[in-house]
Amino acid sequence: MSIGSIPLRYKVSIDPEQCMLCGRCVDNCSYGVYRMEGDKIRINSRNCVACHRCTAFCPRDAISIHEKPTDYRSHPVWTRKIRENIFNQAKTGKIILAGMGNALPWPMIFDRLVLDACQVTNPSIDPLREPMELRTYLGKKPASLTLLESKKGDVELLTKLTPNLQIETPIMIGHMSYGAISLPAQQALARAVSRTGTFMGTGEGGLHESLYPYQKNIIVQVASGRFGVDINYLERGAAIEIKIGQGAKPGIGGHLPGEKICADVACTRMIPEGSDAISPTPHHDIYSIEDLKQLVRSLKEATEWKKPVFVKIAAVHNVAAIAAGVARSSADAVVIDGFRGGTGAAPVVFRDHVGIPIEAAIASVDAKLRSQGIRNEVSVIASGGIRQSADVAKIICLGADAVYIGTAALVAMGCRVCGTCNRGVCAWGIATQKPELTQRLDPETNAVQVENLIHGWTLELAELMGAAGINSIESLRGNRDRLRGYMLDEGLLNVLDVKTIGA
Amino acid sequence: MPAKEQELNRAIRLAYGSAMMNGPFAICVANENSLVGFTDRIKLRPLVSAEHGDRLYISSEEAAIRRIDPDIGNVTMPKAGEPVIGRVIA
Amino acid sequence: MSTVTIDAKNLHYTPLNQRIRQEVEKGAKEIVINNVLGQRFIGDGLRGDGVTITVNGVPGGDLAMFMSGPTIIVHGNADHAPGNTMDKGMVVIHGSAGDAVAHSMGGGRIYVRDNIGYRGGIHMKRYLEKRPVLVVGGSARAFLGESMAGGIIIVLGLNGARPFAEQGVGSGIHGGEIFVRGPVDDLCLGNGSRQAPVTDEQKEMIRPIIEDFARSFGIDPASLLASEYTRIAATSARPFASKYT
Repeated sequence: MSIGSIPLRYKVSIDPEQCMLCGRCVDNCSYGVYRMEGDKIRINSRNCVACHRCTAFCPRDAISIHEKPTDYRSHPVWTRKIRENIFNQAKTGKIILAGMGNALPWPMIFDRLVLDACQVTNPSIDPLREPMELRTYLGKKPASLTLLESKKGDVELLTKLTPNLQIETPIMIGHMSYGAISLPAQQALARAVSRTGTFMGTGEGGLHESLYPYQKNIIVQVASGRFGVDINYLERGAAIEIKIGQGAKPGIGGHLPGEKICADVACTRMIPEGSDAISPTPHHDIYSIEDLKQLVRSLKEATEWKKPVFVKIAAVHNVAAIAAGVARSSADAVVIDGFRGGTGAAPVVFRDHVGIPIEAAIASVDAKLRSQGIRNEVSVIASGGIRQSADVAKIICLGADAVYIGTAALVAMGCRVCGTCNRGVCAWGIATQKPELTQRLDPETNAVQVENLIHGWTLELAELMGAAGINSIESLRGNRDRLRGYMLDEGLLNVLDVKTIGA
Repeated sequence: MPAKEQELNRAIRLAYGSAMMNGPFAICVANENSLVGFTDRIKLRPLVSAEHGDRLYISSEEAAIRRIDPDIGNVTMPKAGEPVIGRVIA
Repeated sequence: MSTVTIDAKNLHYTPLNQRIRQEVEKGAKEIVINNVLGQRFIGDGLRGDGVTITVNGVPGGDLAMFMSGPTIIVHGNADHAPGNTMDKGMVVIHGSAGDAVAHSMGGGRIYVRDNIGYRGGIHMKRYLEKRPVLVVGGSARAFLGESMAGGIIIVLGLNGARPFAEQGVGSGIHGGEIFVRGPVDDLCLGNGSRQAPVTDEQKEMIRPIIEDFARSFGIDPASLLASEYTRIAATSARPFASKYT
């Protein structure tokens, strides 16, 4: 093999002054970095992925992990990653796969948007003292209400309302399947959402029976592979989400490597154990926008029109037109997953190069739906790289009703975003099915952590709203005037319909 | 609140929530045969109303009403966000 | 020195207040102002212990703002924020008052015979012996005692009025006490407040205040003193502590 070995990604070292030879690093690392040999700990840095399980459990802070210990000649065009991808493909001839979301340094639009606050002309509202209304309803809204007033003065509502989901905070947990993540991880998320009055998604792995007690807060996904989809599944969900695509890999289906299909995952998905679970690219019964309407209605018929049906699409170039089509398909919400969306496994070329940022997608979808007078037909849910409460506030200002978080929820459970989910040996017990690893994840302590995250962000959101003189979330939604672009070009400012700072 | 009223209020919030007004205000609007006055939902601004015979007065200050009509009866403060509506009945 | 009478008809508040100050400086102890109609800032920043000013008519907003010492008696309704940031002295209103009564008050007393508007007693504060007191004979609207940091508010619900039946009483309270005659629904409580029936000791503490209030308006205090009261106070002196990391 003429390429030889590529340099170490990380150099791991243990400070002998600090180390007490407790061996926790050896026990915890699932990637094979540490080995106890007599009274010495042997390190194989080549295996390290910087998941930090060892440093998190070292009682003496004795471990150091340094990235890129060996320098390439630096080059702006032929970056380290580019060179190493070529080495990989020269050796294997295959598609490079990885986990998590976009890893290229595309400019972050969220970080070029600033929020407004009130001064004098409009007073701020203190959320400690005044009620902040963050409750959000997701679903189809009536264009108008028809009321009938009786002679006695009683008012009767004649308009029939379509079922909506009621969430107490605009933050929901996105679809991460059982298979992509472990069962204890899903159980932690389920407990967290039921306690915070919001929802989580099943992803395309079906609904495990241990989650049935939480089904009132679970949205069931119907993806192209139809894994785990039967009438029992549909009836249990509080809502149903048709997954057309996801931001991490627009245009291709889900991919769960056979290593992660243990007996239980196979049972929940209703496929053979150990086989790869590949979801087809399109749903093979939807080949056009008219067919989407059929699928939406088939799900509503199956569940007697009692549940909202969402449609999830990846943010691609003409996402606004597609969303307008979704809005006319009887769907109750359109979920848009931006190009920074995470995944358990995706071809790197798709993950990093296909799709558009969620900020631009939501802005154009919201504008398009309003211009066609159909914004009330669907709620708009944003996902793909929502990292903090400021992102939530900004994406709501750009037109979203609510957000789905994925990666952030996993980070709240200890994930360090090492990006090797597809290998199924996650040391945190999150993105793996190996029992010796999944048992590390305690559903209760992790549920509290995720709950804390949602709670902290919700408090911050309330503060941001109060400072902007707003006390109801409906007044933040689509309110482009509360944003300003800081060093965004004119074209993008027009798409976002946001003015520049100072204007 | 009784269930039917809850449903009606929820429907109104669902359908018209995006049109909610924010910030401090006390507003008076009139045409040739009606008069409406209301404040913001958290009562940041003042509004009072009074009646005298067949007259309805709405103002931000009581003194302003008394300047016009020193003999007004009870001066009341409308609830935050609830409109005072007066109509001319021919 | 005898009573000084000022006719405030068509008089702007600046010359009116100048006149009041001059009279106080000259040694007047009793001042009567007639035909008051909407003048704001009456007694603003005025000092003079032992001075009593009688206001006949309807004063405008910010009556006795920053006042430190005198007593003002109003025969009519007061408007927005009487006693705003008041420091010492007394205001007695034979009528109702508007929103933000006793806003940021640091000392002294305000007695309102009838009703007050929203956010009564907002940000009242106490420091050592300077303890502000607000007593309302009728009812108070939402957000009574908002962000209270010290002092006493009492609402009596005389003449069949419900003393407090809206939302947010004691919203953000971190010091001070609110006493409501009769029960208070839990749904009415604001963030960070809690309620409990008043103890005998607390009742003894407010007794002289209620008696003084009754005296000011010629009311018999007996039934007021015999009633049950609810005391609303802070759950914590540090309402922000649980929010930040």
